[in-house]
Amino acid sequence: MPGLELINLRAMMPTLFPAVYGLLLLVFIPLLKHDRRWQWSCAVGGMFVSVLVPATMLTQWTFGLEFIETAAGVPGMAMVHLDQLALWLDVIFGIAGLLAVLVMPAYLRRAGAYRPEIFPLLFFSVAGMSMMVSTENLVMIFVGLEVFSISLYVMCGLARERIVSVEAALKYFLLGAFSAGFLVYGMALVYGATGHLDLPGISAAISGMGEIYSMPMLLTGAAMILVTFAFKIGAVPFHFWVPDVYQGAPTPVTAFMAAGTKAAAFGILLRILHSGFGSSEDVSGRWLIALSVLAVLTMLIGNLLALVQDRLKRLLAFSSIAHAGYLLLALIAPLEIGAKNVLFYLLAYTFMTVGAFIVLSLFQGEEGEDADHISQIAGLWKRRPILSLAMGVFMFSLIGIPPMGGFTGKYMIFIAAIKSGHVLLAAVMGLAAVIGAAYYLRVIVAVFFKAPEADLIERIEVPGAAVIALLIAVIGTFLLGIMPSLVLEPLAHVGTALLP
Amino acid sequence: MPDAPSAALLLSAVLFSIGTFGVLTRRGAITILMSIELMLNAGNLALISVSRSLPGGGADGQVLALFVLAIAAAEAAVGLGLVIALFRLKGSIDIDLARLLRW
Repeated sequence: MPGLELINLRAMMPTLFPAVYGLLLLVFIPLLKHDRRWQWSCAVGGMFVSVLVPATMLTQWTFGLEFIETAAGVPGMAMVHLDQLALWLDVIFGIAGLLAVLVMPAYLRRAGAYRPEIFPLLFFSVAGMSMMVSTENLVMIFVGLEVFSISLYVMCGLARERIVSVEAALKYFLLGAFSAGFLVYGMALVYGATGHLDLPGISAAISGMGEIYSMPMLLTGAAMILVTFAFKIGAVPFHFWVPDVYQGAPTPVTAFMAAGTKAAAFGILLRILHSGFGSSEDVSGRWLIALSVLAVLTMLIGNLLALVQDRLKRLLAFSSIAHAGYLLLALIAPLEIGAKNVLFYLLAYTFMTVGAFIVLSLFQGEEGEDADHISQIAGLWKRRPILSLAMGVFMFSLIGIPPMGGFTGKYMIFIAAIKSGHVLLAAVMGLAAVIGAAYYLRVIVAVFFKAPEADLIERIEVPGAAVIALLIAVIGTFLLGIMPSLVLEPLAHVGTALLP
Repeated sequence: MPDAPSAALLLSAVLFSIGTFGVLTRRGAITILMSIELMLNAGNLALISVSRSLPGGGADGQVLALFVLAIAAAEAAVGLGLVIALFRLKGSIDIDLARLLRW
């Protein structure tokens, strides 16, 4: 009976769980009004299950080529297409959300901006990201993108008494909505050129029409869609919002945004570039020039601008731009390797960058403002040795030093670029990584070798939840470096499944 | 004399350009919001005109247009909320005043 398959709950589980849980939280939070501990425990528990749901589904799929769809068998009607790529990305969103939610209440309380609404919003944005990556239809991609973006705008501006927070949110909102305009118009143009809004349909229509460069309407539409996602990942020259928003948003929100948005946008880029605007024989060749230019600019400019930053949140923002560059380079490799590298790097990046932001979230001044100037963490080693070690691990992993996950990820992207014949791009990546090492080492020198300075934060509270979050992040960073096969083996077929 | 869908597409391209121009040149947050709405609705117009010209009516383009309408409303609500928060703190909605976050 085809009617039943229209609502295939199993295919929607990873999206549906956070969405429904967020709604329930929204209803029940007023009942738990006076008990912050309960509100928070409910959020942590729910986020844990949001990791567990896709993770269990992953363990049941052993071959990597499986997928489940709603409306299976009716071409162009499948609104939900859940495959391994989507499940892995769901796990990443869940991990980023879990790590962020662990430190959220302590940070917001000290900043005087504790509002329990942030928990449902976090669930909604996880649901939106999950919705966006588990579909092959542009309608759902748009809806998912907006669901998580709108939740993030609100989360950024949640500390509404603080001008930096409101400014960051407004900037993010205006540029985000601007890019959404491009996305809609791009989709309309692609729809006009091909008559399809589903990626397999678009792909089939394109391969029936011959050379893509002779179709201005399709090309403009595809370029506009690409620009939207380049904006979301913060690729140069669409990166202007990144440092401002990362600095102004509450630090745990920044942590979630840095990892989650990037994972979602790269996941959907993989899907759009390959099963939508790519073709089976020439996987990413059509987009080679655009992607290479973006990757080179992003790697170099991100790393160079990070060199001159004194505020660590801004420094990490530029570092996140640079890492988007490495990931763009991973997209260029043939899909079988590229998809695997992108997912592995996103996972490693999630652990190390969220970990670093969690360390930063512990530094707050008397008024609860962010105390993230590099002089304010100087001499941390003498006062908080274990916290310093954690920060050291994240920084070394971001540089790409073995045996951390950041090294394995960078190494694989580098090798894949050389093997697919892009030696020049690989050389640029090497150069960028060397520039990058300079500013991460600056942080390490400040933490371990400098004496504490005058504008020191007197009291650093490290709540138990933050210890757990840091422990997860450190273990994850090391695990991906020491035993990469743990993740790489199940990832082996992720790319093959994406081919049209 | 162009046929109906390409005339509508032309109109939508003009609207989209006006919207983009408005976002890039205006400084008042509300005007920028209006320009963004114009861009989204230009997209809607293009979607609907394409969908009419497709054989069989092309329902999915019209469905997307409906979703865009709903989401634009949600976006405007959040945006206006943020503008009000900025106004309370600054007493103005000129986005050039929001310049605290600069290097």
